[in-house]
Amino acid sequence: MTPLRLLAIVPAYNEAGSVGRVIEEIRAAQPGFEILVVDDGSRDGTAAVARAHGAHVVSLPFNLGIGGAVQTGYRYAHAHGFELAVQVDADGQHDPAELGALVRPVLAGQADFAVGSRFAGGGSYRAPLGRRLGIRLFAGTISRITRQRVTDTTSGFRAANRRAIELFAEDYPHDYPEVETTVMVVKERLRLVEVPVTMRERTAGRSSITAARSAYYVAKVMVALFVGLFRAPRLERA
Amino acid sequence: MTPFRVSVVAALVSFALLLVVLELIRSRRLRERYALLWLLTAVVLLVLSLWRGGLDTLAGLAGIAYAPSALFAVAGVFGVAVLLHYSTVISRLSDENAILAQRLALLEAEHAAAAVTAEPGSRHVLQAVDAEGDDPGARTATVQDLGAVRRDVQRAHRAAGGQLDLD
Repeated sequence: MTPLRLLAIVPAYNEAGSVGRVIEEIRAAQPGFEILVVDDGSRDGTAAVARAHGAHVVSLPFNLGIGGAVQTGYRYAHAHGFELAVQVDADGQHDPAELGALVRPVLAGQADFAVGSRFAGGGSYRAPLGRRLGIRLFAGTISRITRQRVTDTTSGFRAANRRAIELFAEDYPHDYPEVETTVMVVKERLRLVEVPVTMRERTAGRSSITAARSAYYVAKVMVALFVGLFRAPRLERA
Repeated sequence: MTPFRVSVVAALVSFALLLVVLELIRSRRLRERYALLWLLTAVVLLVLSLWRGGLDTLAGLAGIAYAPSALFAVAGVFGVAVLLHYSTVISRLSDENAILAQRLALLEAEHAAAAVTAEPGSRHVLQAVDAEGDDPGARTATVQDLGAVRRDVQRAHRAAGGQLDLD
């Protein structure tokens, strides 16, 4: 039997300061993974750093935003026949040492999609008040929609099997995709599981979500969630 | 006071706008990013159509004698806002379109150079480059690509066991 093909997708926008360490940590923790850095139109040499650390690099010609960058990774995974893909942020807030725990339910066939959650027990992540309220709002809404307890809808630490990869290669939300993908996955009858993880303080760069964009973020996601309920599913039923 | 009939018609029209925008999002013909302003427009117009007292107050504040005119004014302001928003979007799209065209042209040039080196024997490459160089329009591109072509030729030669120094 040939070994499973595993891909770590690392979306990076101006993360030259931290992407190298993230690549090394992934390789140290999980040598079986190929690493793809999707450089989302960075201007600080992120792609060169990633290449120097031996990762595959896809450079987008201009900034597409996190959704477009991550979907590029899933399209790559789909086109190259990877059986499992994980998303790891390039800013160092996800600990590759926890990749094993994250992929376990997916590899064991218990779930199609696993999300590393900061709030599902374990960890002591403390977000600022505004962010905490937003996360609470989304988590509550999503739990109600999916009829499943979801605690962390904004986590970008995720693992997808073949079917989830296929779905995301086909259709992935723009701008701020994490919340919507959670609903998409459940709507497509894929099995979603949350895995408790600890996240670190970011080592470089800043969150893409500034105060000024928060209102837009919340409004956009709520509209997308509401309208998304009335959309036809994309994947054929297994 | 706004005539009752005006309120009813305005409410129906804004509600229809709301439904159309939602359906466009649902059928993926309109992205949420570009729909938010439309949704806001539809909701504000709907509220002002139904809330007749509010419209009268607003008209009074703005010194508009005939309240339904205030509804037109609000719709006009939102119309301008949407247009301005789209102007910025179009500007960004045309910038990105230029970047894409340039990337594609550069990739095609690289791709063509790589295809030429794939032929056995390096003389083809040099001839091809010379031939291209005769066309003044292609000269700039050729000079830029020469470094890549040279590297490919050297790599091909090393692979064939020989050594070639073009420099």
